[in-house]
Amino acid sequence: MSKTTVKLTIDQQVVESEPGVSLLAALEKLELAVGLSPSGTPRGAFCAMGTCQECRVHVDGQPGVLACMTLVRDGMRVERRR
Amino acid sequence: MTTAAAMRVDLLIVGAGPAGLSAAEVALAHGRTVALVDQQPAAGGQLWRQGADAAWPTSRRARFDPVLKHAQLRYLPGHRLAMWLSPTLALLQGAEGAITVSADRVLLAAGAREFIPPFPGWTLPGVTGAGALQAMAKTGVDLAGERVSLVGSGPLLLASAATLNQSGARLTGIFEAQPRAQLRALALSLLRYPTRLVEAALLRRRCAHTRYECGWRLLAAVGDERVEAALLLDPRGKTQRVACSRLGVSYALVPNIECAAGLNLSLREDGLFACLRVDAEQRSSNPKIYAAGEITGIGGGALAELEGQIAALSMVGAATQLAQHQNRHRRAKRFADLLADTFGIQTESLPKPVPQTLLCRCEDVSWSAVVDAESSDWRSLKLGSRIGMGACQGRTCGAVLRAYGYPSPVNSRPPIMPVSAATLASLDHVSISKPQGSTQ
Repeated sequence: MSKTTVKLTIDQQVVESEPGVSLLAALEKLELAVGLSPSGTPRGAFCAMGTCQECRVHVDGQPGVLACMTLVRDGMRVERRR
Repeated sequence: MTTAAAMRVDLLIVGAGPAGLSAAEVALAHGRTVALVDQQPAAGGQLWRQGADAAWPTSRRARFDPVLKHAQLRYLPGHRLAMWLSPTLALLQGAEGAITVSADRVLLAAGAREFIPPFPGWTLPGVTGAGALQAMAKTGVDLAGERVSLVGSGPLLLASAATLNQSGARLTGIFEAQPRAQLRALALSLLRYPTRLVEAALLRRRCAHTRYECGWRLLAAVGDERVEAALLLDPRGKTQRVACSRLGVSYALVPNIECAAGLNLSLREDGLFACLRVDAEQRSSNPKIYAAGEITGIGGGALAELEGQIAALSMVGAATQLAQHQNRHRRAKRFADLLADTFGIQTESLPKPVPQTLLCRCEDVSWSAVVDAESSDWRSLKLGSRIGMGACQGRTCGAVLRAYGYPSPVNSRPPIMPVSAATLASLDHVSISKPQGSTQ
């Protein structure tokens, strides 16, 4: 394997991740909640199958990207729901 | 303003799981052009999932890698189905933007999702679906050393436990809601299905050291920032506290019929939920639209595979092979019915939400808001409580309302999945009657 890690930014924090894993795996590695509910309580991944939308994040400015359905990419900029 | 790219094929398949892949294989072998659309980054659906920690076995790679690389296949992973512009014209959204796919025939094979009913504490991080944990383990989430409890009903709990054991999680137990006598009856019936018996035995062996309990009821998840324990009622009626860092819950599977929104297809009851009604050749109530797999009733992977093949064989008019597959289907269906009889969940066995329990996880709408609304129809319940108006478009709460006997969404509306304004705006430039482009 030519490249052992990818670097992405999660809420301004630079994190390293193994390539080929889901963005959810990168969030879980940091023990981060995937986002906050409308009333401000932390939420984790729930269905992990692209249904519940709980793990939706902004990726490179695009809203509504599901962390469970997305692979990590070098240089990816991720913002969680606040 | 950008215009949606246009594609034209003989067959559009929605869902790249066992049913969709098997249908693609048959249709391509008979010289058809096929578009295969799926939300996931890799083919396989839920059952044949590929991921960082889950490679396909050699036999499956040998069979389906050539399908996915076939010159007549347009494989569209990472694409959402936005809406049907006509029964055979779909609008999709991918990373590169909007695409329309026009086809002579459509196969809906969108599979199913887990039924995770609400209970106090179900919104705590660490509470997930049981199959969700399996999916997470396969796509690179590190669960080594985590204390996992699995609660609910069905063979999925065992399958999930097997994967989790392999990934280094420490299972505190599998807590099945059905009584032990019912599972004993299933074990005896399995003797009539030698292949399935071997499968079950192998699965059980992968969970040989995992505690397996029957007749338990889930009361609540407790914890501060994350789940710390599950509260369960044992068969003797005593409350037990089981410490865990992850709680995986799954009581049933819900057919993903939302992908048919706007198509007005006939439905039928399947356990607590609804599925698409099909005939013996997998045709829906619209003769141009076929459906296969879990979306036509929960039956498992072997049945889904056969149904995908039957649908494609019917479309290409291969009568002899079609009849052979229909015979195999009848036998596979008997086994699926046996499983459904064993694990079919009754509302009484489900967890009980309390008034403060959130029902709508998207908009934080409580159970009491729904009960207090006293609505007799879905529309007034939705307007009165804001239930079902969030990002999941009622996929989570709609199944819950149906299972607990409240008004629930009957025919979901487009867009089928949340899509960008740009995708919808691209429609202004789509010629619906004359799609351009070609697969060649």
